[in-house]
Amino acid sequence: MMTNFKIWLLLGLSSLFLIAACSKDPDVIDESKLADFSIEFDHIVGEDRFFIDPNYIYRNARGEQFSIRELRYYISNIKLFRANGLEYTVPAEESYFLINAGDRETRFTKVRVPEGDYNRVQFMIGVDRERNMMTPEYRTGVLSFNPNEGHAGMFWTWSQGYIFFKLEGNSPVVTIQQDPTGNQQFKYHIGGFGYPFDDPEAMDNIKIITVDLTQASGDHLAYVREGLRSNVHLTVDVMKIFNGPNTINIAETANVMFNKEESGKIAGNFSSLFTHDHTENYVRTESEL
Amino acid sequence: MVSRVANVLKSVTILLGVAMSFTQISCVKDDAYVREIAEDANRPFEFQVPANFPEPVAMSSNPLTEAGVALGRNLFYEPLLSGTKNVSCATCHNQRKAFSDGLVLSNTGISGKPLQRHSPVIFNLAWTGIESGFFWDGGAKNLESQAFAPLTHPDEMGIFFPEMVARLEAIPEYVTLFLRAFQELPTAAGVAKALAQFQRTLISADSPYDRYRRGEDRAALGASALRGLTLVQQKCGNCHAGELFTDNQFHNNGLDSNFTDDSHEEVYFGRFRVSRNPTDLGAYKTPSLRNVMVSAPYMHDGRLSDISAVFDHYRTGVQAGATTDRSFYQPNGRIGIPITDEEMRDMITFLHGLTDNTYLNNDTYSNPHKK
Repeated sequence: MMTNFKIWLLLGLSSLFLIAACSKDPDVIDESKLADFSIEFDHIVGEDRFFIDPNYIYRNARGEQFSIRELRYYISNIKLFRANGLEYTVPAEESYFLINAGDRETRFTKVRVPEGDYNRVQFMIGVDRERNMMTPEYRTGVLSFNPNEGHAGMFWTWSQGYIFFKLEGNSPVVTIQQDPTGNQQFKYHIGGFGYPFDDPEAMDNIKIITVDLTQASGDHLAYVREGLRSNVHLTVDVMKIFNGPNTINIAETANVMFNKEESGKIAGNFSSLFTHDHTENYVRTESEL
Repeated sequence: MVSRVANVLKSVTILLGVAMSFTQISCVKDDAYVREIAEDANRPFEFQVPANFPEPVAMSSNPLTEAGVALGRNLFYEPLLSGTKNVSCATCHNQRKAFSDGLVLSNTGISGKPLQRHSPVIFNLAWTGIESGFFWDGGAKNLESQAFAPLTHPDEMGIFFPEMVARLEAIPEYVTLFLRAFQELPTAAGVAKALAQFQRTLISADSPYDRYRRGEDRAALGASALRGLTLVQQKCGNCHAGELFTDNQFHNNGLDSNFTDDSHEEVYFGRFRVSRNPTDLGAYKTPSLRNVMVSAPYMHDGRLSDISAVFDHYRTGVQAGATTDRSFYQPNGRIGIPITDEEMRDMITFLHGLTDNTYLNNDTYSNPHKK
């Protein structure tokens, strides 16, 4: 009697395991199922950690000292690509994120995408032309104009719409002529969606960043499966704003907003900021990240 | 008999003609129609330069045409250009107030929230070049690009351009006007060009001062106004210069000397926000003195409610700052413009002589949608 029960229990348990193994088989991809996918923006400054702290001093390639007070930027228009060339575009409404480097809660862009193995991700730094011109009811969430919940100052009144990227800090090289407040601030507010479209002088700093997930050592494709989360972990090296393909010196360029040439130089450094470090697949809870 | 035959023939011909035109209508009508109205449209607008004015700025990329100006006028008064269909350019630019709105900071846009700068007057803009640009800080280099800002601003007209274009395409009168003006269907760029054309035709050059100046009416200005004219030229002519009564330049007129507030994307920095030239801190574009008596309140933020507040400012309120315009400093080191009460009365009398009722009441500038 007892033996019989043990056998049945054993059989039952093993069949349970079998079923569990089948249902969690990562090789079975059902593209009709949506699953959690995120990109994580992990900030660094050259070889150093990222701090929003007026007393934590960094040094750029020119040897200029600076500290960071604010770093925010829009991520939008997220797209994923598979090895076979198929791509998935996240619906626009679900695709606007405002990363605030001073608030770790904002470091992920969490979206839902079909199950699949993705080897490339793409996103825009900023806000696309279409959304920049939409009526306020289409500008919700981080794009909204409601105080305390929306764009958080990432918007220019009367000119060029949303600010795509904002880096502010302090540096002893900034003069009173450059910052009339006397606080030696540098401010890089980069935006401009190429408007008016028929004006060759219009400022267009919309940048698309493509990240190849096959370049990190080891297998770091994004394996997106229902019930689990795949997280593409990027490092964002803020120092590249100064030391990227275009060199930016704070003493010469302390404040950039509407100067097309200068803002174009900074936006030209954007793609050098983002490096794919690794991907965390089959994640059950965010605490694992 | 002959006439009966002729009549029958005539009827047959008409019938044939009608039938033929029906067969052709589908393939020919559109092209012919577009060609016909396009030829009609190429009539340039006759821009009359007032005898006492300089030559206007050339705008070769958007030449004035009769159709373009007519379209611009219709659009200027068109509430369909706003997201909520109830705000037009004219909401904040009222002809009777020299196309300003009488508010300190307009709050009559689609959101009802106050704007950050005062609604400016609109006249004689054909004499403003790209080096000074538009807006109080010159942030837009021409009227064509300027128009996009209020059209899309969430607190002004907040329109989504594809929606705007769809609305205009649905109205045959607008389609015809666009075809005539630009030989194309409605576009956002066409809207901006037409608005620019209409605004360039808004000319104020028929005030009592003008009639006096051109010798048309030597009695147009009385003795007090003439004394005021001389005083204004002496004491204000450095910036409010020439026949336009503006140098179209940017000056810090000493409203503020403290520029530590860098909020709202540095909107309180004035021209410096755009130019990053340290001498432009707190500088704003000189508004014309024409029609000044009908366009209160004053300054870029509307802070001075009436003309006496403006005189008070220039006499005793100018603040000394690093970028305050040097012309406010007197040889004795004092800052401000010395003006006696009597001089002020004469100057105000003269300023009334710059009110141009021809322009303020010109029917060709008014709302064409009103019957």
